[in-house]
Amino acid sequence: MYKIILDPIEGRNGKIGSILRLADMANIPLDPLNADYQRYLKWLEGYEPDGITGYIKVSDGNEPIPADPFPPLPENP
Amino acid sequence: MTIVLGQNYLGLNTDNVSINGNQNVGLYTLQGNSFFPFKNRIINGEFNVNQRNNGLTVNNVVGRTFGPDRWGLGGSTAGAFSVRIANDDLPGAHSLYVIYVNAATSNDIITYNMPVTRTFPYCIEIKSLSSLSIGTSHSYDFFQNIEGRHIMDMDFGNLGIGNSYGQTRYMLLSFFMKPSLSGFYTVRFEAPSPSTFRYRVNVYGYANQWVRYSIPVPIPTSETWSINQSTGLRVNWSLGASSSVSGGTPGLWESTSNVKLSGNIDLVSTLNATMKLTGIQLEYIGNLPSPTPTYLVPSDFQTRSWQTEYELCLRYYQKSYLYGTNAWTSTTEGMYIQSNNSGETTVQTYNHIRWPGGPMRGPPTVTLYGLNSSTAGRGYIWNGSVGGLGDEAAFATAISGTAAMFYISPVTLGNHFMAGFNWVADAEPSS
Repeated sequence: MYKIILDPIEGRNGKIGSILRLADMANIPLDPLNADYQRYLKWLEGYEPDGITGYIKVSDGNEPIPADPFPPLPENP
Repeated sequence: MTIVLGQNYLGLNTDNVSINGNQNVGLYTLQGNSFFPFKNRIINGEFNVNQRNNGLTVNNVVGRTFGPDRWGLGGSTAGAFSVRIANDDLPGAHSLYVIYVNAATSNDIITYNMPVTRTFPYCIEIKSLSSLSIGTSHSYDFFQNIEGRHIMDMDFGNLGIGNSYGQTRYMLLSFFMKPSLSGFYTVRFEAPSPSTFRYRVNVYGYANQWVRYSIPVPIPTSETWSINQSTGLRVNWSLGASSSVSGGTPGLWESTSNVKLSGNIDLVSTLNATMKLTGIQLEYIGNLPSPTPTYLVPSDFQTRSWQTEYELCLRYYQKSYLYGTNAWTSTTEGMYIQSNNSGETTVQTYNHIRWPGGPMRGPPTVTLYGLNSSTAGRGYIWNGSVGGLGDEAAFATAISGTAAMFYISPVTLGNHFMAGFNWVADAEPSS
């Protein structure tokens, strides 16, 4: 399962900062060069890894947990 | 005997010289190329860098995981095999097993004693954890993904130089192997997924005997190959595959779902069976002289300084922990710490970090750790007046190949606090 994490600066505009993989609390960048992001995209389509090169379709698709409400930025003292 | 200066080598051709009574063996020994600082396109080929699992045995998972730096474990079910770094059984005097240059379906062993020019500090021991009955279409591999930028000069797919003078160009994989079971094993070269363009070779393993293997592989002249930061070429040692994905022709580039040659050993199907590997090297040869020699004897394993090898690994994996200290360890050594003197009592703290080991291959996956919690995804908070406040949820965003931002989620922090993050960053390319 994955959870959307908003960008701490621009998240108020809905910008996603990273994808949190809840199994190991790893923060995954939204970048096509990242292997974990590629697996996340396949997970959205309902695929799970199988071996080192393959995927197997296990569901019609998945949805990540939505982001928490945008946190407040620190105010000036 | 002739000496030939080739594209990427100095060849010593001992054609017509008798070795162990075998005349006209066409032995072609590669002597050169050591001036090229990146002759060996395999990184950590002697398993001398192990940031991830210092002193630990690693079991495979479904999909892939990593053992020593750059080396992956792939499998369809978890717990089929394990890997560990070993230094109690290393190659000394050894035989050389070679694959014919122009007849990769055949192979031979040259049983004269090879000179021992160097030793190896470590090998990898791959061990079967059960007598696995391999499921349909399942497969198990030990592998390294070679980044496209590290083989771009080889011109896979004939983008540039092609086969000049109509001659096939070659690369040469060499390695030391000592299995516990005698028989044929499959070594596989392949384009990155989703391509199924593969080249498979039989190598004969001699039980409990170190042998150095020499496998010439023609540079493929078709298919699309990466020359950027993604995987350009993957080299695999098959540890087992079902019959539904076994078969095909050895010594041939072809699009096939077969990841293993038929009849070869499934290591994962014999409890406690082992395979030891070290001295793994992939060198670019280019064109060979005419007439094409029968065999290629690899050049010596390239010695790079430990610092150089370590820095090559940092492109794919970095961590805050000191070398030799594994993730999850409760320590402030190496911890990334930032103070906040704003006087606010309920705030967030933002920490922009540049990867201290230099730019990574691409944006890494980042995992944060605090000090006390056994749960990842934490940072640690101190307060100047009351001391440590404990671990709190922390996140990494704005992750790039050069930097990232760490932050602690809203929590009552107290005045003048410090936030500390232990972290690991993983930028291994996909398959």
